[in-house]
Amino acid sequence: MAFTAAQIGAGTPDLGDAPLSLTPFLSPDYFAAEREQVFSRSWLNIARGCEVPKPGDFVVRDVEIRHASVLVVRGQDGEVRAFHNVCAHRSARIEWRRQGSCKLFSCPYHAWSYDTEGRLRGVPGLENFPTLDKAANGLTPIACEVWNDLVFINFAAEPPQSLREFLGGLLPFERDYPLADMDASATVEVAVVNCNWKVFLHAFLEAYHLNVLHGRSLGNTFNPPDNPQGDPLYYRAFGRHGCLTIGANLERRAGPMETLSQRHAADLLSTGGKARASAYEELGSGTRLLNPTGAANWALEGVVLFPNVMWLAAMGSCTLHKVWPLDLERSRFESITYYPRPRSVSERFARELRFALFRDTIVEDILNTEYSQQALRSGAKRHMHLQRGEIAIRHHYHQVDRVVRGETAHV
Amino acid sequence: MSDAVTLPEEFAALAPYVAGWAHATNAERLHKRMSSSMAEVQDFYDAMLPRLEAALVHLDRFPLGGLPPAEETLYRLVLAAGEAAVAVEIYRAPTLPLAPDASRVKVYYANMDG
Repeated sequence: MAFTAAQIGAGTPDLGDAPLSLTPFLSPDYFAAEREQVFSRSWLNIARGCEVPKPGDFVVRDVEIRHASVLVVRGQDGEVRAFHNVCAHRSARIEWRRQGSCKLFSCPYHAWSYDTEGRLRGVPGLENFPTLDKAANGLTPIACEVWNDLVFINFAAEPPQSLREFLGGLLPFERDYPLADMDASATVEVAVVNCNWKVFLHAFLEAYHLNVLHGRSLGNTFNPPDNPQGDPLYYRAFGRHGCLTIGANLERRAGPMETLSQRHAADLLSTGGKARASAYEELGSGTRLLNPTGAANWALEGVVLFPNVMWLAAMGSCTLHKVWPLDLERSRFESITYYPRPRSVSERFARELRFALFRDTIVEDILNTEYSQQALRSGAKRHMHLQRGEIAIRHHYHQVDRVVRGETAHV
Repeated sequence: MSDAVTLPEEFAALAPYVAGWAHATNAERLHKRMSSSMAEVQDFYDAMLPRLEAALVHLDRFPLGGLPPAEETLYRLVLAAGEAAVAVEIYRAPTLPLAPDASRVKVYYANMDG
């Protein structure tokens, strides 16, 4: 089996087969351009709406490449907003918890306080600030929009494009793959991965390596006998985003405990489960986004959300792999897997086993990518070679490159 | 783990594993697996496997998040069995072939335990 043009969706640019320059992984100037052109002007997925279900609920998230601490809060009016977590007085960090709920945010430095809609409410010793305009010194807003319960921010003062315009052809996923009922989560976080953010993200953009690097853990899971290299079933570009369709090996044999876990949790099907095709009939009927080729062994759609997210939309669970640049050769990794909330111990057990295996496969990628970064830095090679089935990497690489070279980050 | 910990009566045979394996978090379960020998993981797995289905049936009679103390202990053993299963059925080793120091990887849950 080879990956051919028939498996590439209309609207996907022909990017050829040329080897790729290593400059984007090694150049400080390139990284500076990514900071200004890519991460300062794209919509970035920062949180889930379900993390802030009630008025006053908030989360605090770092976007290191922008030196930003971002406060995402649901106001008393029910709207989700994002602000810089910075006090107007002397730029102290206001909220130090990672998440919580409150009516007022109080700065720990001098107790200036702000309400959940960002207005400056209290200034101790206000009489000593004769020129302070309280109305103009609320929390600094960051553009924030919600789609399919995913909260996105944009650091541009006035984003030239709405989130929905930015997502474009991906919008029907809200109908076909709603996240609202998946609000239980298991997160893997690695504070520092010693490689360029694209090196790590690209580790999740192809199935070619699964039988090899993950031979123990995922061997034979996504690589059926007639597709040993894990060629995608399909690839489609949606503007700067992309969607990679991956098939399962239906002949995979699970061990006794894994089999038992599946039998007691019909809402979660393992990647080897034969029940997948029938469940797909319900979940995916009428859509051309999930399983666009109608394959009996459909496993998942891997949606590359430009610039830094790989969203694995599978049956019964989905994962957001987010890679956050720290500097040119260091990244922070956050992988959040969402499930329907378990209703019983046996459903909970199925999630535990499935997540434990998934967590381990993620961990297997860390050292490999770190050694790759070191090798890129060594100067041993001038290029890297991508095969056709690695089309999602090639597309992502080119989309970043086009923005770095001056195209607007918006589609 | 206090001496008073008990299991539901029909699962009393699992008592020797409570001190080592009945943990509240995924991180603790992972640490136990990674710091055990394969023989120890296999021994725990072999003890759990024949009782696992009965344990799930028993625990499913109670609401997740509202388990009595003895059932809570059994529940923790069941979740640890999921961790042991990955070592036994997938890796055939307690640790991964290519893995960084485990302290670099943080795991946390939301809304998973009722």
